[in-house]
Amino acid sequence: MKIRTVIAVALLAVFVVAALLGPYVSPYDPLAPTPLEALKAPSLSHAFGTDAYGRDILSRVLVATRLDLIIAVAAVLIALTIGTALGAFAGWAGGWPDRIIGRIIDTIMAFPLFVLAVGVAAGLGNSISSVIVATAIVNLPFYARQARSDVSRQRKAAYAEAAALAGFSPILIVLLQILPNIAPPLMVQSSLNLGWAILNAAGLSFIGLGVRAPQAEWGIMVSDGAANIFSGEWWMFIFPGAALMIAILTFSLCGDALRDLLDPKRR
Amino acid sequence: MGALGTLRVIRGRAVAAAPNLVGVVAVVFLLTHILPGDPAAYFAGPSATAASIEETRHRLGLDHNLLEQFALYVGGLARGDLGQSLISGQPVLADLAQRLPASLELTLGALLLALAVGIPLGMRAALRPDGWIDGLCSAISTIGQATPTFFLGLVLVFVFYYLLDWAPAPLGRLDSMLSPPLGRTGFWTIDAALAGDLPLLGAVLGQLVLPVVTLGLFGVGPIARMTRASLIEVLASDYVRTARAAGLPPRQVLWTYAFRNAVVPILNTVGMVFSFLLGANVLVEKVFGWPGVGAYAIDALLASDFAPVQGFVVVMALFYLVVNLAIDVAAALVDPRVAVDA
Amino acid sequence: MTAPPTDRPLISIRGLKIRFGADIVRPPTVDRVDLDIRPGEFVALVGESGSGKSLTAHTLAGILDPAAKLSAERLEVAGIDVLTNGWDQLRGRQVGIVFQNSRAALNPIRTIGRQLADVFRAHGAASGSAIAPAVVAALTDVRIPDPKRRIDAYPGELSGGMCQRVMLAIALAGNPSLLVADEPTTGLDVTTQSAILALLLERARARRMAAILITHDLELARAYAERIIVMHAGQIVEDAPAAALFANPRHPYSALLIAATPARARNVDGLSGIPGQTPDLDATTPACRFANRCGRAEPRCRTEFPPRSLEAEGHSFHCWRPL
Repeated sequence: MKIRTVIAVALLAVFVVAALLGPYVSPYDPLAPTPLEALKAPSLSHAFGTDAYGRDILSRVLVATRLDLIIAVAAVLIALTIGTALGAFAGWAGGWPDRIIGRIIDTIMAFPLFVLAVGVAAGLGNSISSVIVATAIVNLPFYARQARSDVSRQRKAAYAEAAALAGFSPILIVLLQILPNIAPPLMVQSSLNLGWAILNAAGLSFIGLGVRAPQAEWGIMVSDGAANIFSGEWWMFIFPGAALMIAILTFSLCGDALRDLLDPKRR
Repeated sequence: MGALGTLRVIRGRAVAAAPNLVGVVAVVFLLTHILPGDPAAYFAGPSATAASIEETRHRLGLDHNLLEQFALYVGGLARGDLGQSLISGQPVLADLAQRLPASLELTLGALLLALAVGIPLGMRAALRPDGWIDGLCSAISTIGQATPTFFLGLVLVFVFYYLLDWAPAPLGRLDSMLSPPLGRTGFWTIDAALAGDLPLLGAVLGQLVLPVVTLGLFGVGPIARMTRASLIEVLASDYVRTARAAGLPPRQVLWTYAFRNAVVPILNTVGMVFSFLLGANVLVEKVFGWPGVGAYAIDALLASDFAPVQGFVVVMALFYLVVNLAIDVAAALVDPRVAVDA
Repeated sequence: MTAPPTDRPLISIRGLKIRFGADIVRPPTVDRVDLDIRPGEFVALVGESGSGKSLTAHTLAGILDPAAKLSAERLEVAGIDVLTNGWDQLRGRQVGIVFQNSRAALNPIRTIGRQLADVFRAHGAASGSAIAPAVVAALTDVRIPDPKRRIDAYPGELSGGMCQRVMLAIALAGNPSLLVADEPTTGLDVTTQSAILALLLERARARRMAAILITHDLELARAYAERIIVMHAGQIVEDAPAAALFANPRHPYSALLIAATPARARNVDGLSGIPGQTPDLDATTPACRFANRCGRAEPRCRTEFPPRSLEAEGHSFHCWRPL
């Protein structure tokens, strides 16, 4: 097993545990302001220091894991299901549906992606769910394109024709025969997309969309910390930022590990 | 390629891009008209009364049906009417036009940086595969993809402004004590240079360094990687072998026979990088207090002033379409086969 | 008319070895090739794929794969000691080369006129306003119809035969003294094949150039070359005037090659293949690399490479048990 895979799985485990158990194992209440402790540098009692309200940053980073992962997973799940469904339909049906769906995907991709995310978040109102939907929409095309090309290729394969001849309905054929075959590249893609989703969501919260104070989320914590750079309280933005980077790297490494695992040619 | 051929290529590509144009406008329209709730209330602003909401509804044509509204919207776009900002009281188009040069200075500066660093890096890596440059390229790419733009910006500010005191305060395009150059382009670098005011030019450039590096660094990875891959493939080709065998000077073989043939995939990567830059611009403007269109749109959004946001999205998307068109045309000019394929 | 053979050979090679990879245990891909070519001589280098003929030819043209390691006692081309001076003076100037798959060998996004002009300029053969007429003349020389219009054509617009002619023009542009043709007719139809080869020969003769034709086709070699060098697995096995080789082959491999040619086979009883294949190169490779395929091999063949034996003036071979 490559060292890269080991690191990826280990880090992933850390994040999942943090997401699940964060609120229970965090040393302090992430939301409670403690003015007396405000702006303390990292120390034994506060490993990551405290913020302007005296909240322990380590606790907030831990608890934020849950929120950031939920946003990313939700966005990717939506993108995955809707994107794959659209792409599979386009690949199977061909003709007009293929062209229309193709146009929709092309249109989404014609936007600079973060700009589109801002637009969607604006259109849907300032809330976490609009951040999720915006991130989902922006990630959708990758799944749609992948599914479309895989399905349209597999559709011509002999077993699909045989199944059709035997009288199976198209939907059944797609679900039972084709999807299992295209699942591996989709899984790899999802892992990479989780990284992008976190990046996207963090960017949106950094500029003030979605998450509202006093909630703990990595992007908004970096934003809060930004103001304090001038007075030198570096711990406020470094730790949540580092958490972001490590999380994104983790999903990227997991994607590589999955690719190594699932691609028979590379074994 | 003659002038006539070039025009034909431009026209062909423009025609192919037209559906995207329609799509983009449609999507932006739908974004604000399909949301739950009352669009008139959005456009009237948070402090609107029932009467002003009604008035807004009528003024914006929101009492018509969806299709008619779309027609009105498109008509407005064609006239350059992007609505009015509640905060500034100005037409959105005027606001955007006034702020666009600031954003473009950042974006183009970042692109130039990415090209100036990425292409030589990629070429070096291609000419010396498996050297340390290769590893450097890979490392930059991997880390670059995992780093949020705003985080990198803040780190750079902390290190170079707060710790080292090398960079000026990240408070916009120019120190508030200095006055901006008088000029027509709105690009303060160009204006200051044209006015011959070197100290001012220095100050402007000083403010530009950190934001441009923040943005541009993300472009280096993809451009270097694509340059390397494309060049390696071309250098192994039969026609480069012929050129060498025919005794052409190494310089010419590298640039005219290898690099030019490797350019098209690099151009496509530049397109992708541009898309990223236009989006990340927003974040960088926030970090550095840059008075560009991104900051304008975000401030408007947070104040529930939606016309500027809509205008921003439309303008950015259209700009990106134009950039892609230009890249397509450039690719066709370099490689006539691309033109034929279309 | 061939140039009268002079004393000084145009090409002189002794002990050429070409190796790939760092493994010194593995035998070299090209093994102790000795070769002399006189000015104006027409030679064919014949062998199966893997015989090392292309590597040898590419070495002469100065475009050996950078991954290959070359060693030799002597490597002189047109009076230049390549081992000390490298190929910079030679490429295109003294040695021109024509490849197979000509369309891929031409820059697809540059007009053929421009590509030719580049070569002219590089060798100082023409400059400024003299270039355009020189290009037209070069194209006419290789019998491309309507050359003035073709100058602006891209390789993709030309047929395979025309691309081959353009390549020939490029190879000749620097007025070299040696022309290397690396399987120049593979992939062309028979009529075009003979037209190209005839053209090649005629142009080389007219300029008093020596020519090396690389081919796996012995019949082609006989039709167009005066002298045939037979290679097997990186070793030269026989070197003779074309007629002498066919009349009196001394090396068993040469005889098998001759017997395997379709024309010959028709007279005898069907195509006879040559047993076995070109051997892999590893620690078990015999000294004479044909030993494991040879019906006449003796133990000495496996341990000691046979020295050069002279059959007649200009006819030599390497074999312990010649025919």
